[in-house]
Amino acid sequence: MGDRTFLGEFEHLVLAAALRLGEGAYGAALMREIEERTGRSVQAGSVYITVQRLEEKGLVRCTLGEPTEGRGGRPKRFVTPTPAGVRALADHREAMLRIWDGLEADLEGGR
Amino acid sequence: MSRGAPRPSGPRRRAAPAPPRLATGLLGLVLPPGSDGDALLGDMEELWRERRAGRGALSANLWYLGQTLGAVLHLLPRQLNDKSIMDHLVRQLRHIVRRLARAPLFTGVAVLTLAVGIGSNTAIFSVVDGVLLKPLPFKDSARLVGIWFKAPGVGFPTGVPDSPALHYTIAASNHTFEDVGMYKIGTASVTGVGDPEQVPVMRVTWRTIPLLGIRPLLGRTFTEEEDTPDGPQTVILGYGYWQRRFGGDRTVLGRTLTVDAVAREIIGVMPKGVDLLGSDADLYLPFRFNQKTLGMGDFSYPGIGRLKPGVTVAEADADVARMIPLAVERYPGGFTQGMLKQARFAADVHPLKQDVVGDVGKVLWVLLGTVGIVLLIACANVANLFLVRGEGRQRELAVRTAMGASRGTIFGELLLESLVLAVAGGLVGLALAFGGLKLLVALGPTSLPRLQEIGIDPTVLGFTLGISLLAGVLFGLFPALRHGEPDTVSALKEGGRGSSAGKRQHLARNALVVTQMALALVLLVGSGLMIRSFRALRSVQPGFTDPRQVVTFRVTIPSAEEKNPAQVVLDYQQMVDRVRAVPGVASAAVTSSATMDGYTSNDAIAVQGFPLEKDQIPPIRRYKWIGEDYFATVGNPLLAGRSITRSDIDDRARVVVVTEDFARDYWPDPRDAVGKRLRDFVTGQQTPWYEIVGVVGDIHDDGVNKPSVPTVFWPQVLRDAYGDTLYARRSMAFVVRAKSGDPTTLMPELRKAVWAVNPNLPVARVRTLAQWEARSMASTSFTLIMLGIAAGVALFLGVVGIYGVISYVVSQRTREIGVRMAMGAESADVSRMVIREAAVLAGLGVVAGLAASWGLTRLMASLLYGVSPSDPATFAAVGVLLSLVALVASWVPAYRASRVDPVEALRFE
Repeated sequence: MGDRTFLGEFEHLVLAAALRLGEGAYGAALMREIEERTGRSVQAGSVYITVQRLEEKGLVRCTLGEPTEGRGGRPKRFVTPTPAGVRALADHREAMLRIWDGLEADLEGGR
Repeated sequence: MSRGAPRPSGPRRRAAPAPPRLATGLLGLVLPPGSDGDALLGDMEELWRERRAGRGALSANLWYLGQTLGAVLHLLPRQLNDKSIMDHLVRQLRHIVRRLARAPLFTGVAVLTLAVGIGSNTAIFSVVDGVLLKPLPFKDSARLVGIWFKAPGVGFPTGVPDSPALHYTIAASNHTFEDVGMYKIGTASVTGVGDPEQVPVMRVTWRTIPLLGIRPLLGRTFTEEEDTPDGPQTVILGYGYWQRRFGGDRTVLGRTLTVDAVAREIIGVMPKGVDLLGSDADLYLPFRFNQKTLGMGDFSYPGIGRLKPGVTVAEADADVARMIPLAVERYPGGFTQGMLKQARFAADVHPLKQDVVGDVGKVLWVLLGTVGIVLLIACANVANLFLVRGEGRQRELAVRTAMGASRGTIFGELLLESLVLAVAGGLVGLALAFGGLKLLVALGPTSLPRLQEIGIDPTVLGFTLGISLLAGVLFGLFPALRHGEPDTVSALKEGGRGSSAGKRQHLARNALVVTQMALALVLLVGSGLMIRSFRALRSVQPGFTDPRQVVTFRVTIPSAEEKNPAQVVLDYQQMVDRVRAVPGVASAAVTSSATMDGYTSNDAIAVQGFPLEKDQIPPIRRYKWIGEDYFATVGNPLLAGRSITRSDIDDRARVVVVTEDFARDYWPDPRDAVGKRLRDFVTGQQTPWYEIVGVVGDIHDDGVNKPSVPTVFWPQVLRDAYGDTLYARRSMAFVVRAKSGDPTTLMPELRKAVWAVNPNLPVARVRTLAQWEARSMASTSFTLIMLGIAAGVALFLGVVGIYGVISYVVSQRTREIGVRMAMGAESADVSRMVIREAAVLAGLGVVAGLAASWGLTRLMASLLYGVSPSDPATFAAVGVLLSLVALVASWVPAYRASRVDPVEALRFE
C-alpha cells in the first residue's frame, strides 16, 4: 500500500471512537460510543471484523486484558490506535473537510 | 439443594443469568478459537446484561439473537477464507473422527441407525420426486391439461373421459387452447411379420403428438386427412417395436404393415423413451372418426389440451363447460341437453400430470410421511446414545472448561461431532437407498407411472444432504445443549450424582423415549390398519374361485380376417372345443372380458316394468358377452335359474344372465329376476327384449378393492329386432381351468388349439385370474409391505430405546437399590419399582401415540378398505402390543436390579 491509507466508513468510525476512548477502548465500549454518537445500532460482529482489519493494516494495536466479572469471566480486547492509525484518521478528516467545504449552505435545505 | 439463596462463595456460573445458550453455541461455531473470540463473547454478554438490567430479559435476548445472526453473517465468510481457521476446523474434524473411531460400537450403531433413517427417506423421496414433483417430460409441460368431465348426478363425481363430439366442438370453437387432442390406449393385432402378434397401441387424433411437442425420430406424424375415414391408411412405429421387429432399420418408412388386417404405410418412428401418457405403445394409429355420423356420447377417450400462454386451468374449464351445449346442438342423436342436466354433466379440466400420476400419489405421500417418522425415531435413538455417552464425557468436558475452553467452543464441537455422524449416516444411507430403490421398483405397483424418471439425481442428493444435516442438528442439539454448559464443580467431584443437571439429563432421555414410543405406535397403527384392509380384501368374493387354476388369454378375429359374424361364432366354438380337448384342461369358456382384466364395457339398460320418465337417464350397467360354461369355469355360483348354453348361442336365443346386485336393484329377492325381461337402451329405437334366465354371484370387476359391479351377461352373438343382422363379439378372452397345477404350463398346447382353427390369430394377454386379482391389490400390498417394514424398524428402535434407558436408570441407582435391599426391601419390590418406571414411560408414549395416530391415520383413509381410519380394535391391539413389548424390554434390567447384592452395591461406592 502507498503513503496514504484510505479508511472505509466504518473503519473511520471505529478508529475515531478508539482515539476518543483512549485506554478504555474495547469492543463493548466502542459499540456504545459509536451508537451514542451516530444514533445507529452497531453489530458486534462488524466491530470485531473491522478491528481485525485495522490491526492487519497496522492502524491499531490490540492487547488482551484480564478476565472480568460481569462479562462471563471473559477478557477485554483493548484497541489502541498506532501513529499510522492517527495519521490515517487525520488524512481522512482533511479529505472530508475538503469535500464538504462550501456545501454547508446547500445541506441546510435537506434538513 | 435450596433454590434462590445465593451461595456465599464458589463458582456461580449456574446461578447467574446468561445469554441464550443456543445463540452462544452458534457463535462458538463461527468464532475463531482462543481469546479473541472470547473477547467478542464477553463484549456481547456485557452489553446484554446492561440491556437486561435496563429493558428486561426479552429485549436483551432479542437483541442478543439479532447480534448473533449479524455476527454469523459477518464472520462466516471470513472464516471460510481464513486458512488458520480452516486448519483448525480440519484439526477438529480429525480429532472427532479419531474419537469416534475409538468408540466403534457407539459410532457403528449411530451411523447404521441414521443410515436406515436417511436411506429410506432418500429412496422414497427419489420416487416422490420422479413421479410427483418433476415436470412431465414434454415441452412446456406446465401448459398441458387433461380434458375430462364429470357427471355426479349418475355416480361419476370425476373421471368421465372426453367424447369425439365434444372434442371436435372444442377444437373448432374454444378460446383458451392452443391445441387439443384425444387418445386411447388399446391393442391391435399385427400379421404378416412372423407369428401373429397382439401389440399395445395408442390411437390418437392427428394433433395429439405435435401438441405434446414430440418430433418423430424418422418420418412425420399424421396429417389431418389421414385422421378421416377415407384418408390413406398409415401407422407410426414406437421406438421399441421398431428396434425389435425391424432391427432399427432406417429404410422402414414407406413399407407396409398389416395391423388389424388392414395394410398401412409406415410414415414415422417415434423417438426413444417416449412414454406417452403412461402407455408403452408399439404402434400409433389415427382414430379416423367420421364427423358426419357422430352423436353426443361415447365418453371413452381421454382428452388433452395445450393452454394458450397465460390461460389458467380454471379459465379453460369454463371455456370447455361452454362447449357442452354446443356439442349437443352440433352432434344430435345422442345425449340430450335434459339428460346431461339431470346427470349434472360438467367440465373437469385439470393439469395433465394428474392423469399421468393417478392414484399412486396418495400412497407415496403416506410412505414419505412414514419414513419421515422412521428418521425421527432414528434421531431420537441417536440423541439418546449421545446422552448416555455424554455422561461419560462429563468429566472430560468439565476439565476442559476449567482449563479455559469456552462454552461456545464445546457446544460447537459437540454439534460438529453430530454433523460428522449424520453425514456419515447419510453416505451409508445413500448406498442403502441405491439398493432399496431397486427393491422398491421391483415391489412397487406394476402400474407405478414414470418409472424411468426415478433415480438418484442432484435434487435427491440435495435432499439427502439436507435431511442429513437436519438430522445432525436435531439429535446433536440435545446433547450439545445439555453438555455445552457442564456443571464444572459437581462433575469434577467424584461420583457427583443426583445433581440437578443429572435430573435434567434424565428428563431429556425420558422425553426422547416417550417420543419414540409414540412415533412407533403411529407406524404400528398404520400397518395394523393396512393388515386389516388386506384381510378384508382377501375375504372379498370376487366372482371366481381358485383363481390360480384359471389362465386367461385373448384372441381377436378382425373383420378383415373373417367377415361373416356367424362364422366368427363358429370359429370361437371350434377353438374352445379344441381347448377343452387339451389334456389337463378341466373346463374352458369364452367371454368378452374376464373379471378384472380391464376390458370393460358399459351401456344403458331398460328393464320391463320399470319405465323411464322423459329425459331421465337410463341406468348404465356393465355389459359382458359370454359363451357356454362360463360361470362353471370361473367358479361363480348360480343363485337361481340356469346359465347360457351352447344351444342358446346356436339358436340366437334372446336370454341373459344378471348378477345378484343387478337383480336387487329391481326386485327385493334377486331370484325373482328369473323370467323378467330387459333390453339394451337405445334412444328412439325398439331393441328386442331379452329374458333373464339366471342370476349369478356379484363380481368385483373393477378390482377387489372396489364395490361389485352390477353386470348383464349377454350371449356372445346377438341378432337385431328383425333377426336379419348378427352382432358377434370379435375379441374374446378364453378362460381355461386346469385340473391341477400351474395352468400357464398348458399354454403351448392351448396356442396350438387356437392356431389349428386359424393360424393368423395372435394369442395375447396371457394371465391367470390370480394375476388379475393381485394387480387390483397391488397398491394395498405394496403399502402394507412398506409400512410393515417401517413399523418393524420403528418398533425395534423403540424397544432398544426403552431398554437402554431403563438399564441405565438401574445402573445409576445400583447404590440406592442396594440401600433399599439392605433396609429389607424384597427383590420383588425392587423389580416392581423398576417396571413401574418403565410402565409410566410406555404409558405416556402409548397415550401420546394413540392421540397422534388418531389425527394422522385419516390421511391414509383412501388407502384403506373395509376398516375405518380410527378403528378401535386396531388402536387397542397396537396399544396393548406396544405396552407389552415395552414391559418385556424393561423386565431384563428389572430382573438385574432385583439381583443386586446390597453388600457389593455399597462397597462399590
